[in-house]
Amino acid sequence: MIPFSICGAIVKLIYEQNHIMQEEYLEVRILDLSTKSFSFRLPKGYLKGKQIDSLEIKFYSFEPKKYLTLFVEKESFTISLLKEEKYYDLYEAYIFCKDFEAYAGMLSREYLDYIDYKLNLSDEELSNKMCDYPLNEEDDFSQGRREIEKAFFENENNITDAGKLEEVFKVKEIGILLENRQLIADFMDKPFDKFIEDYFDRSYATNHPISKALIKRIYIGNPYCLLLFPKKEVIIALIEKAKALGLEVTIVLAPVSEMKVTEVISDIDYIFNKHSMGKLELQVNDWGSYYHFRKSINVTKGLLLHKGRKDPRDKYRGIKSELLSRGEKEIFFPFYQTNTSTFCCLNALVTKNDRGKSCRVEACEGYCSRYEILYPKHLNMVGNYNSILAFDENFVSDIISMDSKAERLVINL
Amino acid sequence: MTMKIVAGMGSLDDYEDFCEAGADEVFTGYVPLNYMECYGREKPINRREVIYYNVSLGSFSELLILNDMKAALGKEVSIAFNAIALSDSQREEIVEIIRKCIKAGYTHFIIADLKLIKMLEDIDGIFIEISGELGEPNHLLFDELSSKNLSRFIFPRQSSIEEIENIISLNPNKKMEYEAFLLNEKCHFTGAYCNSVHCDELCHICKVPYKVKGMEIGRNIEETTNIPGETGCGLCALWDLRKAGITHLKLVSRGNSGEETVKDIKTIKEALKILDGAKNKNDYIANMKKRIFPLGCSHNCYYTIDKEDK
Repeated sequence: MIPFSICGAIVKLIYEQNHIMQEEYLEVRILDLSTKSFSFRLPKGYLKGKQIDSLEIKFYSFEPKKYLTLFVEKESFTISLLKEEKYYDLYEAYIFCKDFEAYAGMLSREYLDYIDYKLNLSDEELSNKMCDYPLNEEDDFSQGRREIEKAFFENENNITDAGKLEEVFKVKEIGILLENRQLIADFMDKPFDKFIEDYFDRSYATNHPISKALIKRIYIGNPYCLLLFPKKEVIIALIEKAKALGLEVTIVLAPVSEMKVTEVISDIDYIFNKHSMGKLELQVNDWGSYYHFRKSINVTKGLLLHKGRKDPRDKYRGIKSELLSRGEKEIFFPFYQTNTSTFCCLNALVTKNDRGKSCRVEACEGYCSRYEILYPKHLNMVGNYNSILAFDENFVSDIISMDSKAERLVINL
Repeated sequence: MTMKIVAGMGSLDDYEDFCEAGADEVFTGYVPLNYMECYGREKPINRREVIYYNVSLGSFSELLILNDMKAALGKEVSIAFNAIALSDSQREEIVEIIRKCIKAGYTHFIIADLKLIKMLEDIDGIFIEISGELGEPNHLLFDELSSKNLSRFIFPRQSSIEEIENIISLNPNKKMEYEAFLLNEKCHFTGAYCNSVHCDELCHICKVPYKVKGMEIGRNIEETTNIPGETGCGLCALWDLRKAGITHLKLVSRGNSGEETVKDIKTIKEALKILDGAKNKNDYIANMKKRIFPLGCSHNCYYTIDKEDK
């Protein structure tokens, strides 16, 4: 049977009701297809008193990835009842139309090609056949986040292209995401100017306009993993330092699992009661936390609550999607999230040698500070924490095109 | 009360076989042709995004036929509209599609988008099953969800038994049903946070080769052994799931062959029979493993369980 999505038809039925001619358009599934005919089925007795007046047949063409539509008027087809099955009546439509022959032939070839690729090729080979996915590059692994950053920021073409970034920086509030223990420690321990200098230098970005950002806000916490949420006393200390520096603060909560709810509520209540900041904001990444905290605190929705198609391999399919991760008020860049696992897959890899054997981690060993999951270089992605993050090489133009969707930009090197 | 088996179905031709094998309910997708044409594969309506497989019903006439089968065989059919990234125009479109489905005789819908759930609030007589693709669940969620149409909550794959039990006990809505994943496709990542593509021309992103810096671990080589639940199994957890308050068990099978799904349904059925006759958890697990996995299981466990009865 032909898969439904690649070929279907809409039949126009006409019938008389109360002496008035009626029209009905009914989608039907095409079951079998040849260059001369197709079979389809209708509920039992559905055609009683009705005639099929015309057919609109849709064929999915893989190139150019759209449906080709063929209208067939009643002079150009015949319908015959093939069989009365238990729950439906099976029909055959015989089409006298050269275009039908051509389209049906095209579809059959493409579908059979797909089956052939699926049965006989590796994933990489199939992808190479069906889109521009590169062959023989899957064993060329990147060396992790720093290498990805270095390759981008030390490329002079990327520096000259990013002049527009400085213009954007002038009109947006710029923040930095302190998403791990090292960044938090650095922020606390170093003078702010030194922290910023080292932050961009570590990512090889010193000569890139991104390093010219005037940081006005810090985001404290990891949006993906709750185990990286700092202790409440540390957060209070961070807030105090930020206040002294004239920085605004957003506290970031990863999705809160059920058994952590009581502890998190207590910590957030403590923080929001104890801090001396004028405006403190909480960003959450699960709906339960959003509904709970919005009753009493300034809450925004984080990037895991703003979903969208984000895959570095889409470029090979010729698809341009909005890659950068978005929160309610901000765009995070240059890394964007593609996948997150609430059961830490890195922990599973390190402790059980199998990424799939993950479970809820209670006592975190902090493997994410020591290990990264590496992927093929051409994908610009890395496994950090419990997530896959990819680097958007077009982040400058993407920020500009997403401009209206955010009042802030948050750097997440 | 015996937990019910909910089987995923990609083609109505499998419905009768699934019912005969012992499925109590079936779920599927419906993607109208004009929706495919308008939104293409890039803005899917549910979480089965491929086109070269039978994963959803593709036409309204199929819905009508399936409804007749439903009336004859009596097993409920839920339709999934559980895409996680919907635009406002898609939501409006989906509401109209749901209205068409209601006219065709359907009342159960699986939804992951809270705005969409809100838009369906005023429609009487429907039952909304909150998809596991909604995100990390905790009991705070239920303090807010109050729509009269909410009938069931489907826990996401990555839920522990302890979490499931706690959430169920704290939900003020005591009439709600609860569904848990039981067999097949234990994803490495959480569905609600999976923004990568699932298309015909690219493998799932979790199958892209990887390695850990400094460790000799590479891509998992998947060897097919044909034992039940080799891609994900929760059969050992049935005692705990029942105790936690789970009422429905999800068999992930849309896109699988009908024959394989029938085997899986019968496997679950047998496990439930063993469960009904078991004296305690250890007794259940021992007997179930002996009968269903005489040569050993996949160890690809959905749930971590304590071996000892509590």
